[in-house]
Amino acid sequence: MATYRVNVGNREFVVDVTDDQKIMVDGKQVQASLTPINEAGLFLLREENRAREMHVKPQGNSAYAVMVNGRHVVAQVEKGNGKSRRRSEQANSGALTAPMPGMVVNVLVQEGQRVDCGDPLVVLESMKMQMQLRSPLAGHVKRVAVQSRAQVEKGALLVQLAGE
Amino acid sequence: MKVLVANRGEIALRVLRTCRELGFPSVAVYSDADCDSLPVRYADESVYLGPTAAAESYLNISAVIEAARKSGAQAIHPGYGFLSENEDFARAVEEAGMIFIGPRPETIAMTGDKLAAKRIAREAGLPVLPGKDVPIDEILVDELANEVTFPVLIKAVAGGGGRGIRLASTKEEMIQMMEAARQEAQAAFGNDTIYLEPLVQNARHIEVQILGDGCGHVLYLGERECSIQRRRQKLIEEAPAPGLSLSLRHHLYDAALKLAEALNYRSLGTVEFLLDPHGHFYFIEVNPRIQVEHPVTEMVTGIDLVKAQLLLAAEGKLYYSQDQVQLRGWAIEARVLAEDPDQNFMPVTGEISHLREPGGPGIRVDSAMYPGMPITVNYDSLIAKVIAWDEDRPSAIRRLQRALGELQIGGVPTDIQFLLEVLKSESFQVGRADTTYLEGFQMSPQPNEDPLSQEVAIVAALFAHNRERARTLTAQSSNVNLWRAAAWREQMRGNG
Repeated sequence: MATYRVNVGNREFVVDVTDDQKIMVDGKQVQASLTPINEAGLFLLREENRAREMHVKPQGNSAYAVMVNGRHVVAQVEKGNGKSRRRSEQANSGALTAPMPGMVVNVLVQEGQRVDCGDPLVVLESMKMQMQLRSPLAGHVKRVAVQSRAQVEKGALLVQLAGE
Repeated sequence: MKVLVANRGEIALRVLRTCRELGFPSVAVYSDADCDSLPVRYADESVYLGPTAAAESYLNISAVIEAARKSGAQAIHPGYGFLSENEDFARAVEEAGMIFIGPRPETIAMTGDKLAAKRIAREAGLPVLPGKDVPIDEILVDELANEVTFPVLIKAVAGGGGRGIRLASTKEEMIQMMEAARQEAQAAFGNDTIYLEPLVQNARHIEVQILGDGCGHVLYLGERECSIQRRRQKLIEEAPAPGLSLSLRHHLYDAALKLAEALNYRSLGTVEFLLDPHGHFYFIEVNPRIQVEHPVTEMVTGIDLVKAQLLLAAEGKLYYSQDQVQLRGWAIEARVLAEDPDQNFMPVTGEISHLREPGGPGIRVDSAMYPGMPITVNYDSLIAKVIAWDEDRPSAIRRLQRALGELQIGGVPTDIQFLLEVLKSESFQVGRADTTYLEGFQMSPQPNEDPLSQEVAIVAALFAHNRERARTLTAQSSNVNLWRAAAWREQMRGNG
């Protein structure tokens, strides 16, 4: 199995590819396969109930320019055996912190609640963009440190988790 | 009539296509950068002009005339840009015994001098912006500055097409800008004369297509709205203009006709107006050539404007009368540019690695793109025009959105997503956008929960994964490339 950390926009995905080409995204299995259509970089991403054409062009060793639906998106791929530094730090300490300054739009969990790795915990809005912050581990919520509409600085503790 | 097309890119191909339909033998010209271009492949013949730099090829009058002579062309179509508005070129073509497919050199000279054009327009009874039709210089600056209301535009007399315009909010700022404006005008147009024009707030850009035979007959082919502009360059154009009353439209047509008659206009031209929010319009300039956005007029009139030009040149008469010009439906054009929306729309370079053009009902694509086409910094960034026609404006918008979503261009970033967002925006949808609309327009950031982001992540990860697998599998192979390709394909199909 190989693990890749992929950054798209300001989102990070952890994609696992097993030896028999099964794919997990952030710990959840997804039905997906990639078929090359031509030599020019056109691929078909097949998912459970649809197929989407994507054009992929590598930029250097770790970046990929992906063109889909008129959108030109650059994805950064890093091979990581295990979780990302940020994730593993957070996983180790069980602290979910704000990746950038912004406003808490919504807290999706309560103290004492059980969570799985990848479950959304907090919605943060920054520069008019909303992002869901997900649990780096499976366990339960020890403490919710913020409320909706709170302004937070980068690195501020949002949710304290306790691992299993 | 053998026609040489003195241009490149999509407009060259556009003109060549009509030449082929009419059975006119055609000649393309090309610079070093364009030796494999579609116009070169499409034309019956092609002639090399010179190095990539436009000044040494497409702007080189003697090289173009020589190419025409060598190929035995009887007429030259200049397209837009390059030599199309150059009176010396038009004259040189005629002196060489060939037909210039466009207005007479005198008309080009008159319309090229923006102040002269304004004077003629005023004399012909067109509404023009207030202010003296005189160039501004150090002697006149005080007198003129006291007459105008700020903010004011500083424009080049030889300018046009939105280039080299500066906005001054105070007299001091204006005086400060004059020298730079003069230098820029000299560099860009070879003429440093500048003049002042009042700024019309929240103006819309409306233009009327005219066609004349140069012997007293002129007609109009409806109007176009071109208010969606970025950095004074048009991005989305449509015909007709939304929300104009019938009487306003006829006033615009009358004005354009009056000017066309005053100029005894020959061939195609465009009379440009600014329309203020109160319904007053003002003449700004005449473009004595075919326009980038001409297809929207062709779509709503059903008339091939290039064919009209070519037949007029070949036979000296117009094949249409005013009552044959009937507008039907709605057409919108979007300009696809090789520009990076994430880098403040800077032009990009690279190669078109993948291309699929849209199709289906009511769609037209004018482009000279092909997979493998290099995009260089030498020419403008327009790589395609996608035009949609439908029965009414909302349907035409939806159709254009559909077509832009189908257009796949791989290898370089484009403005497609930006165009889609403008088309989707409320101000555009209701037809209220003016020429300043895009100044405050923000592209919506990529939503984080966009399912597309996850799909992109999966594709990138799988690509990286298979790339690495292919690399390891073939490390010991002597025929690495072959193996790599085979292994890669094997891996990719893996779980398909």
